[in-house]
Amino acid sequence: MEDGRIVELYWERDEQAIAETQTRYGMYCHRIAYNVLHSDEDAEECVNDTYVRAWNSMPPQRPSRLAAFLGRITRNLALDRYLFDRAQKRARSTELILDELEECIPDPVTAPPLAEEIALRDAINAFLASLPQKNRMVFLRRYWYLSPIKEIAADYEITESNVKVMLHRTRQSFKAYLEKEGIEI
Amino acid sequence: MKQKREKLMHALSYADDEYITEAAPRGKKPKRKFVKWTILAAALGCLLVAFNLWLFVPLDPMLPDVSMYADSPYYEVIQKINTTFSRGEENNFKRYLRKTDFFRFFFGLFQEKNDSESLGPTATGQIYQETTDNQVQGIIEGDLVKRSDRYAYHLASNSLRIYSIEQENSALVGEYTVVDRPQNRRFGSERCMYLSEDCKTVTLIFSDRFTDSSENRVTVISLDVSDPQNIVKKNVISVAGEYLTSRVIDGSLLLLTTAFLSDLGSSTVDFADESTFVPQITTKEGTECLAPEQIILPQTVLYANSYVTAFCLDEETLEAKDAIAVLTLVADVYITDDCIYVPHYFYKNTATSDYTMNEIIAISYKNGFEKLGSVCVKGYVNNQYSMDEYDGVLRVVTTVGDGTESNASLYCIDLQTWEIVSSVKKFAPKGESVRSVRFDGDAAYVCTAIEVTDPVFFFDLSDVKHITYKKSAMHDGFSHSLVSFGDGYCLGIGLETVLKSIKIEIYKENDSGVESVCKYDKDVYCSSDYKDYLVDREKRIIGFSSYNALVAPIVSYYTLLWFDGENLQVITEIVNDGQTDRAVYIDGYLYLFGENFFKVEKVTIP
Repeated sequence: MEDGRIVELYWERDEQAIAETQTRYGMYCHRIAYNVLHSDEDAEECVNDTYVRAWNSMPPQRPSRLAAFLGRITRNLALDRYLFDRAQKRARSTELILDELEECIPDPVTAPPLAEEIALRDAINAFLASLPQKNRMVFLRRYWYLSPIKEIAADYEITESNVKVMLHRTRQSFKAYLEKEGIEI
Repeated sequence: MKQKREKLMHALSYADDEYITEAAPRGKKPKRKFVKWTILAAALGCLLVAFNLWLFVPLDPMLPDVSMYADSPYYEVIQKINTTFSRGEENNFKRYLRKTDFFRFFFGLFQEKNDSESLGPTATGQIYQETTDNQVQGIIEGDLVKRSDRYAYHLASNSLRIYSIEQENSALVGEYTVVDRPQNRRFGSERCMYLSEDCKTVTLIFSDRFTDSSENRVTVISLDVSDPQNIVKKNVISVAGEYLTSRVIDGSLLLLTTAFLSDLGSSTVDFADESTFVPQITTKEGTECLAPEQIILPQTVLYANSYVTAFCLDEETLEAKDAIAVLTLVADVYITDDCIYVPHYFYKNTATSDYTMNEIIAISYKNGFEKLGSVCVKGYVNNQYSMDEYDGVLRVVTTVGDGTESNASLYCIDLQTWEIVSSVKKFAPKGESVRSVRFDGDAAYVCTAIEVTDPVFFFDLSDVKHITYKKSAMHDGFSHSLVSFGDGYCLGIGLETVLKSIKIEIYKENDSGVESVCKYDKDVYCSSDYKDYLVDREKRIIGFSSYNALVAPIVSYYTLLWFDGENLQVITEIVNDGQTDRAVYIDGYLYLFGENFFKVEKVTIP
């Protein structure tokens, strides 16, 4: 079923919307959640919460890209859950990705004291727009979808070393870009 | 540093949908050695596609012809409902499903008289005391606890409990277990209750879903509580649909339900038989369909096969006095002392953009239901607090657009002419949506947010033609509820950062903008329902129930804060055996009502 029709089903309060979402995007959402939580059980719960959140959001919302809409909900839910549970259990690979991201945090001395979330969002999108398509896709696969290096390398048919180098350079550019824009995290 | 990288990780959520979709994992490319299998799979795929085409391609994309019903008094309703059928896309799959299913329709409202003899009203000598922070003064909203000067009435998950209000000597004096709800109901039902002004009648409302079907049912039970030790059931009614909201006004219970027609198809609704597509009402005279004039049709596009039905019931007998239905889908309504505002959502496509619109339909209810007018504004409302009627003007705050393009707008509508007299469009930063609104006379506070960092806006509405507003700096966390807290203060209840911890903040408008006076936050889970909080403006106290899931076993607290004019101080933090449904502060004592406990604690407010 097409995305538009699935959104229509949400608006009609037809529970078939959940079933269709599960069929079309269940694995996609599970993969995003699993990349963060590294537990099938936790990922499944997170995906179920995604369906509830989607059901409560539509209407009134009407996403034009359902995959991104659901993916964003799943990612945020999974990250929230991960961060909340961190005292008890931390997935090592998620920690590793967070450690990598640390490199992108601009130096607070050079950044202006006032930072606004909105400016950060604009900066992120402007930075992504400035990247070559492949670099952008690899960067988002790693830090949006939290995919393992091995999987990214296989999907884009490049070596793992290439992925690591590409990510390292993009992180450096990202940091430089945020500093140039005066963004403080 | 750890918090910063986590914040950056969250901030990456703002990446445009386009980039997210572009980078979505698509699986590995097939390797050459799998070519044979690929061809085979492709052949099978073609067969599957052909089969799916046969199953799912619409048989007739045209609207079903309903002209033969032109003589029906319900012809306008038929035409409106018919517009949504076309989007149902009749196909072989649906035809097959229909053969295996049966048509269910669920608008029956039936009344059941109690077999037992009512004791009849006796003078209780009690004085009704309001415990709920109602949006409109005098228009009582349902809650889990109501009280008189002598007793507190707590609606637990399936029973009514009455406690005496006697400080340390308070005790359970009566209990009534509900047996009238469907046994096969699903977990997660909604419930609320009312206490009549004379303190003789308690009205319970339960909204249940059945485990063996998608049908929803609202059960309303009135109880004679004149003698707390001998609670007697007076009447029960059952309304098909899902509970939307209710109010008690001057001895009448205004009950609003939503009922969806999602299972309906063109062959299952018989337009020759109005009982298959028109809500019904049961009165003394019997059960009958609502008359055509009792059905309001939105002027704009209908996007869902659903009715919002408002029933006016006698609070004691639960006898239906009147009813009206609006063919629409809504999540919340705003009710004033004489009017119901129903926001009907629809979606508008233009050559340049697509956006959600809102047709706000006003229905008076004081002397029978009657449509007063309607107006269209861009965007959707957050909840009942996003609308406010003041001095002949309806003020509405909406979120306009979707996703990263969203923003917030404020509209003022003249209720005489139903025209927008002024507006402030897209006042928030791009990408933000409305999280909470509170109108307070000539002023309005609005909180918008993207994720967790957000501003609070203060609007001066004293001259609706020249609206001015000020904005706070960005704060961590957002408020899901904004409440006027007296003396020009505004209380924000919400979430702090990504950890979903509680944040309670006091704001005040000053010359330069909106200032955060003080803030309390803690890493605990709390409710996002405003009614779960105790807000006492006179005593300046705020109470809330919370739990900490990081320790085992999970510990539940009830925390009481006091605002001293400069800071929020913790007055007490009580550990409980479970979540507290409600708390009430009476004469130096805090009464806590939980599913498994009742507790009274002496609490001194400085």
